[in-house]
Amino acid sequence: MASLNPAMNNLKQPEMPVDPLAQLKSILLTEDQQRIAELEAALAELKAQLSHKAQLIATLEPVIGEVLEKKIGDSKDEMARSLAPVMGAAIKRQIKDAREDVIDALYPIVGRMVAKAVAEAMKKIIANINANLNRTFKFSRWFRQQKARLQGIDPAEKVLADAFPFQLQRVFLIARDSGLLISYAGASQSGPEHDEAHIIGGMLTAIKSFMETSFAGSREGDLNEIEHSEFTIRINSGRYTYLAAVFSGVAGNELDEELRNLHIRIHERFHRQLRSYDGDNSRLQGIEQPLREIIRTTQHIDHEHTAAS
Amino acid sequence: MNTLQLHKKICLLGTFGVGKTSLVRRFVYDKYDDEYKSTIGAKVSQKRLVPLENSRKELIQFNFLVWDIEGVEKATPQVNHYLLGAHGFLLIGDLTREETIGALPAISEFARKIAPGAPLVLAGNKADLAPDGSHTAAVLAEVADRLSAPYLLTSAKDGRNVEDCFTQLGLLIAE
Repeated sequence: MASLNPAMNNLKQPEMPVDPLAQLKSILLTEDQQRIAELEAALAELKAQLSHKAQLIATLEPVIGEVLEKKIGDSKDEMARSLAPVMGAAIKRQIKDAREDVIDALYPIVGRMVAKAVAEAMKKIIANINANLNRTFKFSRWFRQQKARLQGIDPAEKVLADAFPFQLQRVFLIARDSGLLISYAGASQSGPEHDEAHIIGGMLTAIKSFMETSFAGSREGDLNEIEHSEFTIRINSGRYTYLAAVFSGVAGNELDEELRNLHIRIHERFHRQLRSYDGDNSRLQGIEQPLREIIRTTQHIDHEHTAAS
Repeated sequence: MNTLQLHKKICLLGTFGVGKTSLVRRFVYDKYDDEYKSTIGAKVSQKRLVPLENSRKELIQFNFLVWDIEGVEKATPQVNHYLLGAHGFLLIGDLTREETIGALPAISEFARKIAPGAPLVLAGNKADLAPDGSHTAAVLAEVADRLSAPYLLTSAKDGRNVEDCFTQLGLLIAE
């Protein structure tokens, strides 16, 4: 009797042996085996990506921005703490390696900061000038203005000088040729500052020599003023020495006159020693006195002026 | 005995790259830097020497204002200006470059014109790079003899004879 079931027919054919367990496995697990094979392939690909630097970067690149953004959003302080130690070094390195790029990047920001600082400073100046103008009708103010006029000082210059109060910081008396410091007086007379004065005397002379020989051409001339930051150095040259007065604020014309008179007084008393000056400051006892006086006098004038304003 | 305090202007002269700035750095700060930075114009440093005794038994302490002047081979108005009022000169040659020692007589000539009485001391620098008894040391000795000036073989790198150069100059000025 022929069977209608082909499987039964197969069971009856001894020339084609079949492992029933394998057949059962095949029937039950084919789908799982395919999935395992797919997973193994995916795992191998993932391993390859992790071990291959370029592939890993390519994989992480699209999400790294988002990860950082999330981390910063979640805990800004923690991120700042972690990154702070390397930021300083990274900035220094970048400035060293690509200075021009850094300047280009900072230029607009710094420009705005400078503009803001200048605007603030201008506001202060305007406030000072306004305050001075408001006092214009006070009798003492009117009297001082008239006095300034009689002395030939421009009232506008006077207003400007009031806005930037003059303060004489230091006065140096320096040998004209050698640049050796003969005497010095400063608002503060601390040791190291006084010691440093010898180098300042030398460097001032070097700068003066450089300017006078480099830019004078065929004409002989003396350097009269150097400006740096809020400080100005006014120079008064004599025959054997020169005086350098360091001050802040606006100096009126009277400073030149004061320095000239000071120089004359010093030369009247010490001209013999100064003519043969050879680095021996013990032969010039008392020469510092007029320098101290000019510092004291200008401070006195300044205080008097402040008190009267 | 009273110690006389004297301030003196000392000028360092020599052609480019002989090690003037390095000698000053070693003398003033006891430091050395391999990097070469060309000096523009002049730079002034200061150092007080230990008190020295002259032949008259006077004790003198010098405060040296050391003018490190840019490399020169001949007189220029600017360099002449820097040399005004100098009390002593340290003329420096490089023991690894003979021509820098050969330039010293011409340099001494214009220095002596500006400051006639100021003594000279010659220094053959970079002695650490030159072998003992080198030809350049012999050339330096010959130049020093012609100029009637003492000389020393110095090294700003290892510090040999640097202090002695300035002391030698101090002793000459003290006389």
